[in-house]
Amino acid sequence: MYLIDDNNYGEVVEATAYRTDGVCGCLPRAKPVGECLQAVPFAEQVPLIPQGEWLDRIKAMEASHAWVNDQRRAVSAERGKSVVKNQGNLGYCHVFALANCMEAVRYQAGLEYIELAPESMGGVVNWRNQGGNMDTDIEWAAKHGCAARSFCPYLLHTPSQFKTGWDKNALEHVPIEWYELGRQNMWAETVTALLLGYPIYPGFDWWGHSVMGGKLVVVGSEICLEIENSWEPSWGDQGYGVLKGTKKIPSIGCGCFAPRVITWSQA
Amino acid sequence: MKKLLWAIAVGLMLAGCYIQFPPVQEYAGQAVSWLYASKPVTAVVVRETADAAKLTKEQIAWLSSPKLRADCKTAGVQFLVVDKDLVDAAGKTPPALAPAIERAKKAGLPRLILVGSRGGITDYALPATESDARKRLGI
Repeated sequence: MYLIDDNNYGEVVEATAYRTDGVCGCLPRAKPVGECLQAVPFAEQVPLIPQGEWLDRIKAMEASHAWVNDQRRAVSAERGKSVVKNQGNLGYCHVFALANCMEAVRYQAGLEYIELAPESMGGVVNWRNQGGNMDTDIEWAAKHGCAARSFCPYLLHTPSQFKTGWDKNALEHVPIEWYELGRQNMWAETVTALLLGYPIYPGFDWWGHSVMGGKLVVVGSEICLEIENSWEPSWGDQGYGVLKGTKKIPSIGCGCFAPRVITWSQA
Repeated sequence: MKKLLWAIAVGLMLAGCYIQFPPVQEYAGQAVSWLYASKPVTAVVVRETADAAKLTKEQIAWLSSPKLRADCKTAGVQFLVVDKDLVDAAGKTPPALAPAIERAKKAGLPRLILVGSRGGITDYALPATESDARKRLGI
């Protein structure tokens, strides 16, 4: 288990700057909480699970390996290749994490695994190598979608380098509806979303980075957040890390979302 | 007596077909397969995603279990979990899933819809546990 807490978080912050040549991936949200067009407030729609039930529910999820991250590991094992992505030196963590959430929702629906290409969502930052706002990303993705990897070579972010038809294929994979977390209590909403089986799309202002959250793990007596990063499987524990202490709580300033519905497509 | 037994046997076979598959004409060309029970080939859980909190922790766990999904695949059962408002890229309910979604909406969500090997559709309340679900799915 690769733990990131108040004592060592500097390591990953430094690594972010090094990997992306100083391009910060996750920028502060563009709109105030509650104004993202594609997202409805989570706590107003879903009753929060009382804290007294958290540990019992974590055990139930653990027993069935029902966590999103466990599902992702199962897909990796089945295909003989990790689903963990590599954003290279692109400041595109914001769309890589979004694509991971979309793949997770596709799995939950029962669709065959299709690797999605986050680079195809680079239009949200005008195809430049730069960071983005997660709320803008999900609004953009709801209009344009995300193409399959077979249309977009790894780490190229110029549409002229994509295969013909990529934009049409992208419309097959559209995240239509999201929840926005953090209106009432960011951590309680995060825990509830994960216990109900949703992947989450959190940003962390201390890290300038966005990842997919897909599991809760108990470290000592503390409930922590396990994330899937987009720094290839050699990072952390086969691409996964555990955020602890103050570092585990998604930032209101960046936002945290959970995808609800994605278009049905076998393509 | 022999004739009577034959009549009863044929009658039971035909009745069985009618009970599971009302449009018998569609199966006229598969007379031999009538002798065998249908098995689920597709299992669709139709739900209102926003109502996830109404499910028990056991139901959430089995719905998300990778092991159950892998076993379904091995058994030749396609296992799907969809929202009642699911749409395809054209913005319409996917045609292949429309009958299941309609059936579930009428019966009340969440609902487990089983599509048999000969096209018959049956619906059930969402099983409470993984072992109940496995029995229902025949895996």
